[in-house]
Amino acid sequence: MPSLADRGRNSRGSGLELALRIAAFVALAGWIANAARPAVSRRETVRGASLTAALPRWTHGRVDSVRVQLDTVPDPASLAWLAALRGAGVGVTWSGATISDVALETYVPTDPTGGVVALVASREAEPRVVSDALGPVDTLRNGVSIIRLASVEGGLTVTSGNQAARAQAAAVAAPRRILVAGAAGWEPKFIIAALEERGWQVDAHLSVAPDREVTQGGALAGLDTARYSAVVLLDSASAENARGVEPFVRSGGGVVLAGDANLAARVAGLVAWRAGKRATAPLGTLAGDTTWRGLSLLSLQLLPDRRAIVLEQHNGQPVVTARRHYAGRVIGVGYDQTWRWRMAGDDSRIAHRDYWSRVVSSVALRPASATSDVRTGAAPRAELYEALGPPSAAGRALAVNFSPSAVSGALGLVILLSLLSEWLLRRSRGAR
Amino acid sequence: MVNPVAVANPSEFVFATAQYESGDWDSAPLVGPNLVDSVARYTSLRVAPTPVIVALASADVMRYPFLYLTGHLPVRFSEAERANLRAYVNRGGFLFVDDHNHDIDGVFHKTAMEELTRTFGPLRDLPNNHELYTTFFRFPDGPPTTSHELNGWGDNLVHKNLQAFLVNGRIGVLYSSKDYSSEWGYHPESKRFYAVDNTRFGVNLIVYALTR
Repeated sequence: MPSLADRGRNSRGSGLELALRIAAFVALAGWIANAARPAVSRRETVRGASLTAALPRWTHGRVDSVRVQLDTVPDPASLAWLAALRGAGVGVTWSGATISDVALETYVPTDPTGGVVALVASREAEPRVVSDALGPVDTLRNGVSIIRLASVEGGLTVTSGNQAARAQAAAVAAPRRILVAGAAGWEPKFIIAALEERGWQVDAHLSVAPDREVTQGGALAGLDTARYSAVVLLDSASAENARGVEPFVRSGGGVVLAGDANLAARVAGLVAWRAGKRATAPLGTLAGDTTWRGLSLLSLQLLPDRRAIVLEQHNGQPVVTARRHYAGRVIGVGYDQTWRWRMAGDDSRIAHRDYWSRVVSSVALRPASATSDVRTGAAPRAELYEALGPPSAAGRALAVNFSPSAVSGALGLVILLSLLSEWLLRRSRGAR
Repeated sequence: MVNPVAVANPSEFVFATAQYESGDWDSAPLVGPNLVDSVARYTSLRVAPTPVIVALASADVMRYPFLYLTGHLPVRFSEAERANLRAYVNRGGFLFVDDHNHDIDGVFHKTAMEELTRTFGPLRDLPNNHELYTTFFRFPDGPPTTSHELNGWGDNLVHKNLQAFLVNGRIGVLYSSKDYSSEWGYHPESKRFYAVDNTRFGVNLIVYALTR
């Protein structure tokens, strides 16, 4: 007759055996269920053209890993689908040595004439075709190109080889007015004319006597971004009298400081440069010389402790400089006789007009985008990397989680170990 | 070529008289100095003390965006003068033409109007409420009357309007039949003999040209 201790030991052993049997039965059920799923290929490779047909098959069937050989970056929906498969445990790898690199970004400049600026980059030497919904609009050959288009219908597409990048410029509200201030003279007169010819709405305050100003656009009510996008100050006196210019820039307005205006104490906190000596063109220089832009200039020496960039140099000396000041931008222009450049020729007149419009546009307050959710840039290869990671040379899966065969193997191992343990326990207590 | 003086004074106003190949372009040599004196007297504009004479066919015309042209005799522009003048006005230059005869039946008026019409198209009457008449001194009735209009000389008419050719809303060519060349053609020192300075409208012309 077994002792009490033997009976207790037998009771614990039979409980453990029961648990092991249950575990073996559960594992067996799982193994059967796993084996009952439809048989599928474990690894599949397709070319890009077959991807659309393969994606549903991979989703509804079962695959361990897939490998995609791409000629072009898949469309966004297919790319998102692949990323989702990868997230669900399917090993997704890709290769695409023949994919052309092309990237496109578009924006609407702050300019009354509107249009769209497109920045196109590519490593390929082959021509890139820029087109919109109505057809091709330009062909580019350089690696990096910036083009300005008067209008775009339905977004832009740049095609390089077999790869296309698509982007749509976000619409922005029309720029507000520009204020021009300075002593009456040819320079302000022709700058105002140039800006108005480009469609800017210009208010002007030009002093003609100590107590007299010639105004255009009404009395100066104060600088406010609700009214003005930018202010153009053309001499030191106008800059000294520009009350509120610092808060104006701080709140997003733009300031153009031309010639002596860069010397004014009132704008010292806005600039990161110091006006140097005036240089005049050597005798014989034509007024239409683009490098002189009107025969005389002030160099603008950058101060070491403030951040600014040089936009234009002349003989190694900065002439046009720019910096940010809180939400606004400030640009310093060393040229102060650009009216001579304008008068020098018909081409110069157009160049002068474009130049000043570009200067003002570069600092003018940019109203918030009306459709800010519209994509403004496209870099297909970057999007491919973001979705699937870098390409792989072989068929090694990037993510191998719980594949069906691995599950079956694991379950079989559980069954085997459970039954073996249960048998050993039974034998150890003398039972059959 | 560059005028070193002009380069040294970039924003200085220089009064320029147009020298054309036909006619008597130099019939009113004192108008320039007199208007320069008036501009310096009434305004703070930087002004070159000495007027210049510039050939109408020369590229130098482009260095002087204000140009004064007058005479008594027939005016016939050469092709070079016409092309230069057209480019000058299209780029933003201001041409002031005054009939020194004060006679719309006179040869200067007839030929000058023909030439200007051929170069720019027809000139229109400038409304007497145009900003030209208020840009510095106020002339509520339009162009001030000259003594030559009142004393029966020339065509014996008081011309109510000036004529103009506009470029982008700005006056590019201003034509006067009022004979301001005689009215303003005296030594600046003689202004003290006038109860009201009769060159004040000339100041408006220059201020307008410099600001619009």
